[in-house]
Parts: sequence; structure tokens; C-alpha cells
Amino acid sequence: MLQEDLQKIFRQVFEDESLVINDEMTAKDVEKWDSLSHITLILEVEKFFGLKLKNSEIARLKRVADLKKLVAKHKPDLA
Amino acid sequence: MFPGLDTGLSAHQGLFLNSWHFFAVAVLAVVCLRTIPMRYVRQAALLAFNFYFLSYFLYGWYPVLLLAGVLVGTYLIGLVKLKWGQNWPDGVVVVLVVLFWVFLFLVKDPDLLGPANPFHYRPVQLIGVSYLVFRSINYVVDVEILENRNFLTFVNFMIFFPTLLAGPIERYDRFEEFHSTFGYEEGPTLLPSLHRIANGLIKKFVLADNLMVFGIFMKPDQMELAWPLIWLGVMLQLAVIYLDFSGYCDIVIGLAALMGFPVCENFDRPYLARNVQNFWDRWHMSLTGFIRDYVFTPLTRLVMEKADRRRQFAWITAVYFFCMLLIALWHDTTWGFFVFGLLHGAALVGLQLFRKYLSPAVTRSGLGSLRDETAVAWAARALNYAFISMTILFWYFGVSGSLEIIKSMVKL
Repeated sequence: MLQEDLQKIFRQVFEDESLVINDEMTAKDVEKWDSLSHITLILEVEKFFGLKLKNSEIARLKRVADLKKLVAKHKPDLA
Repeated sequence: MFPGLDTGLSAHQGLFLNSWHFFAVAVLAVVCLRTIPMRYVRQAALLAFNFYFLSYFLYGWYPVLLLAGVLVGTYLIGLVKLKWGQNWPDGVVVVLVVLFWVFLFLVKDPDLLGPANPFHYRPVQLIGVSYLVFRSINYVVDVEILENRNFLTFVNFMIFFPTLLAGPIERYDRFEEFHSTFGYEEGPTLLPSLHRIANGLIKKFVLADNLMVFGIFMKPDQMELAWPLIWLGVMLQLAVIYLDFSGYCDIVIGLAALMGFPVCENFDRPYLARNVQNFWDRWHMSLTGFIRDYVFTPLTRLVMEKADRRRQFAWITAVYFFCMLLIALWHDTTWGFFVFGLLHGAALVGLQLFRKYLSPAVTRSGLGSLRDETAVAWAARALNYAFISMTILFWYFGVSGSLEIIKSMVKL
């Protein structure tokens, strides 16, 4: 469920309906994933899951798996 | 050493990376850290090596006191922040980060603000001060999510001798993991690390040192040179700086890995970058990553959350310029570096504008597929390399001098 929700958000932010995310995926794997769109992504994730992430937590996000872990930490029922 | 590269290797009569003395210290450090299983003894040994190395770069009590102030002050701020917990206002972190930057600029340039600068009448040379401040910011901002925040780990993190002079800027959480683990390794270590050190020594002390004379920075009479020689000097300069700095990084990354501290990378073949944004993703990566995480992201997030939607792009443009000016002026507070920062900020904003307004049309027209053509990719790399090379002229020759050289390059 978390995977599907995140995939929906990724597709919307990066404007790519064929995007399929996986745990090892990083910014290098998605053409439009740069430092600016990364913030849009975080804000969309926050809005969707009703979270407020700290800047220090955002700084640690490198892979999709890190984002999933962080969302699950704040919303354990989604894990 | 080139102006603007804060490696401190030529400004100080310290322990040089290519000396037998440094080699002996490095070998001893590797042996100790690889053979002492008792955690606190090993960490205390590292502390001794760090202070031994540092002692070759500290002259008099003034820098010692300043260093002690930075170490104790940062650690105490961390303790207070932890004690306050959720009650710690976000605004205080912002003020502290700004104060750290102000401190850094005042120490680095005693003439900045004239007599109002506390270091104006008593300048101090504190080795690797930029990297100390960056690590302090990392520690203070992230302290509540860090583990093993004891003072010994903290001091070893702040003055870890392989990366003390010029980075890479390692983050506390990764460093702490290496620091707590006996014999930490990420894949094969011995031969790849020795190979890396050898590569670094060749890049820095054989290639960069010998090619340096052909670079434009070493030409006292640039305007008298023949047109092709000016081009050669300008284009070679970036390569020489790359060989010098990435060679230094190869040495320290290789040594740190041998010690059980596989610190982060700092370069990823920047000559392959197709645009300025991609260049900064590949050049001095630990610095750009630091600016991204502790300046760009918080500011842009603030803009996206608070600013009126119609004005967001203008604000984000301002954030891009601010970050590039910060990176530029951190090197040196001169007009040349200011213009360098402006040009790179403008290039980043131009790229965002292209992506926003032109890129969809290019894709629709079918021309987008050309981006993947080998010839187009290499043309983009060459243009980007030339742009970066021309902008670094401003580091050394100031605004008018650089413009004169660029005019003579294009024969205006």
C-alpha cells in the first residue's frame, strides 16, 4: 500500500505515468529528480500522509527505501 | 596551490601529504586502528593521531583557544538543544547556522567589515576552519537524530586528520558508524585503497604540479600570449585544479578507508557534466551536498510553503543565486568570486527556465531524442567545460582582467 501510494506521488511529481519505483532507486535513476523537484516530492509526501518531516531527516534520504522507512517511522500503521 | 582552494597545503608549514613524516604517521595510524579491538583505546589512539597532526598547523595559543572554543561551544549547543527537545524553537537553529557562517567569513577574511571584524586587528590562521564550521553546522542541526554523541566521538569527528585540511565533508552519522566499528569495510579495501592513494599522488604531485605552469593562472603576461596559447592555458586550468584537488581527495579517501573510515566521495568525473547543475553534482560533491541539505532545501521548502504561488519562482531564483554566491564567496570574498557566483547562479536559473518553458516544446517537436545522440552529448560537455573554465578566470584575474582574457579568446 505504501509502495503504491508513493508510486502515485512519484508519477505525479515527475510527470511520468510509466514510472515504476523500487527500493534502490535514487535521483540518478529519474531524469527530472533534482534538488528542486526533491523538495516538491517531499511536500507532496507530507501532504498525502499528513506528516511533517524535519530538514535533518530529509537530508538523509538517498533511496526510495529511505523514504519508505521514514514514512513508516512516522506512520507505523502503513508499514 | 591555487587561490580559492582552501586546502591550506601551501599556506601553512604543516605536515605535507607527500612527506615521509606524514607517511610514517599514516602507516602507524592504520596499524593502530586495525589492530586495537578495544573500542575506547582505539578511539583514544585516533584522538592522539588527530592532535599530533593538528599540532603541526597550530601556531601559538590564539588558534588553539579558538579551536577549543569551536569544539566546546558546538558540543555545548548540542547538549542544550537535546535538553530542550521539542521545546527548542526552529528559529534558534536558523540563527545559529547564520552565526556559524558569519564567524567563518570573519575568520577567513579579517578585512571584511574593517575594524568591526573581531579578527581585524588579530587575524588567526585556523587550519581547515571551513570544514570545522561545516561539521559544526551538521552536528548542531542533526544532533537529536544522531547516535553516540559522546565528546570523544564528537572531537574525533571534528578533527579527523585525513580530512581535516580540505574535506571531504563527512556527516556525523556516517562517521560515528565507522568510529564505533572495529575494522569497518565497504567491500575490498587494501589493494583498491593503495591503488587510490598511488593514483592520487600521481594526479596531485606529478600531473597537477607539472602541468600547473601551462595553466593560465601561472602566466604573468596572458595578454601577450598567442591566441591558441591563451585558449590552452584557460582550458587546461580547470583540468589542473581537478587533478590537484581530486588527487588530494584520492589520497585522503584511500588513507581513511585503510583506517576503517570509508568517507564520502568528492568528485565524479566532472568533465562529463552536460550542464552547470550536473557539474555541481559531480564537483566537490560533499560541499554541494552540504549546501543543498543545510541551505538550499530549508530555504526552498520555506518558499514553497509560505510564498504566494505566483511569486514562488522569483523566490526560488533568489535561493539559487544565494547558494551559488555562498559557495563562491566562501572561497574568497572578492568581486571576482562574486561574479563567478552570479554567473553560475544565472546558469542554474537559465536551466530551470529552459526545463520549464522550452523543454516540453523540444520534446513535442521530436528534437528531444537528439539529447541522447553521442555527438550532441559531447558538444554539451565541451560547451559546459568551456563555460566553467572561463568563469574560473574570475577567481584569479578579477572582473576586468577576466573580461580582457575572454575578449582576446574570442578576438573581439
